[in-house]
Amino acid sequence: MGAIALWLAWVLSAAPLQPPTARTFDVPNLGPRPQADTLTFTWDWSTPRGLISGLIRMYQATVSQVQGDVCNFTPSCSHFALQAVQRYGPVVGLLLASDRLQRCHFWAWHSLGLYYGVREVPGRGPKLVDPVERYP
Amino acid sequence: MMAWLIGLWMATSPFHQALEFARYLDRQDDPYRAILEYQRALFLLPSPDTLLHDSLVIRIAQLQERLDRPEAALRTLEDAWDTLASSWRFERGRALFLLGAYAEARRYWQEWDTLVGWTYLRQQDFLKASEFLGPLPAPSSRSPWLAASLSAVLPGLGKVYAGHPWDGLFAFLVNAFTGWRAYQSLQAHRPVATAVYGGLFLFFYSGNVYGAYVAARQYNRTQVRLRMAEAEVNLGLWRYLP
Repeated sequence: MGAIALWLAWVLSAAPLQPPTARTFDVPNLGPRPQADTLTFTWDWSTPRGLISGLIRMYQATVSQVQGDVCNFTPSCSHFALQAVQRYGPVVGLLLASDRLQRCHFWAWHSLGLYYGVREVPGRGPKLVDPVERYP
Repeated sequence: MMAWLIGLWMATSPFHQALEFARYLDRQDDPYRAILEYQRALFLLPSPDTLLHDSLVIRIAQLQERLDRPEAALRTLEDAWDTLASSWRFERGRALFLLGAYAEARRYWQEWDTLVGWTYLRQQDFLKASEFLGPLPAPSSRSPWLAASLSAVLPGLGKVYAGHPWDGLFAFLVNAFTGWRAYQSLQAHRPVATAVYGGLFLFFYSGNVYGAYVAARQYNRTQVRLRMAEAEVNLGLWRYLP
């Protein structure tokens, strides 16, 4: 019960208080993303990297579908985690994913100047640009 | 009569025709084709050991640098004689600078203090750069290890130190909540809940410590880039770029 309450609190906390419009910011609006926000993925349960990636993909296919689009960033937190795990391995990837989850909250837009800028994602609205290439 | 003959020769000589056309393309801001025509003029040049040869070589190198091909410019400059030594050194230094070989570029730019200072600036050596460029404000920095330590002592504090106050506050709330729930579950002898909340707490706690370390490093990188860009704009160093 507590875990469900925690999850609900998380979902609610990730939703920005004021839906922002990209043109009101003094940081660059980077325009549409040049390629689809997807990743080539193959199921592999035999390695820690594959296991964690598989769990994230399962989350994306189930919980994320119900939860809807609540992330403040592009790529979204789950895509970021997936890319981080695939790029830096399971340990650093999980640490980065944990850090990103703790940055995705209702005050995230106050930290606008710390990110690359804002990108209008079709169907999702303006998002803070925080690619995994910035890390570690 | 003589002048007329020279004029006729210049009008009909393939070298001069190629050169005039290259200059025309250059004026038209068409560097790709201008390079080709300058190279044609260079090929048709009657005597190679001249000032004109070197000025053509240097102009080709300049255009190649403009097209973001400094390695091609370096190759071109190897064909030069020694008639325009100062310009040659400048161009060679600039090609190396564009390639990021700042120490190498410095060897060719020794006679220009500003440019030497610029190479140190690009190497993020603000102290050395200020010897050549005048006093430069040093970028403020945050210690990544201190940020990580602060976050280890009090979750979120390292983030505040690294310039992310809102992230720090949220991280503190998340860590406090999961830690408190884990403690409560432990007190109530509920092993499953303890494992769940304890795991979550460890996940967030370690992520927060690492995140503070990364945030401090990013803060330093941003400050260095800002200070560098500020100095380059204030000192007008951009004008030395192709």
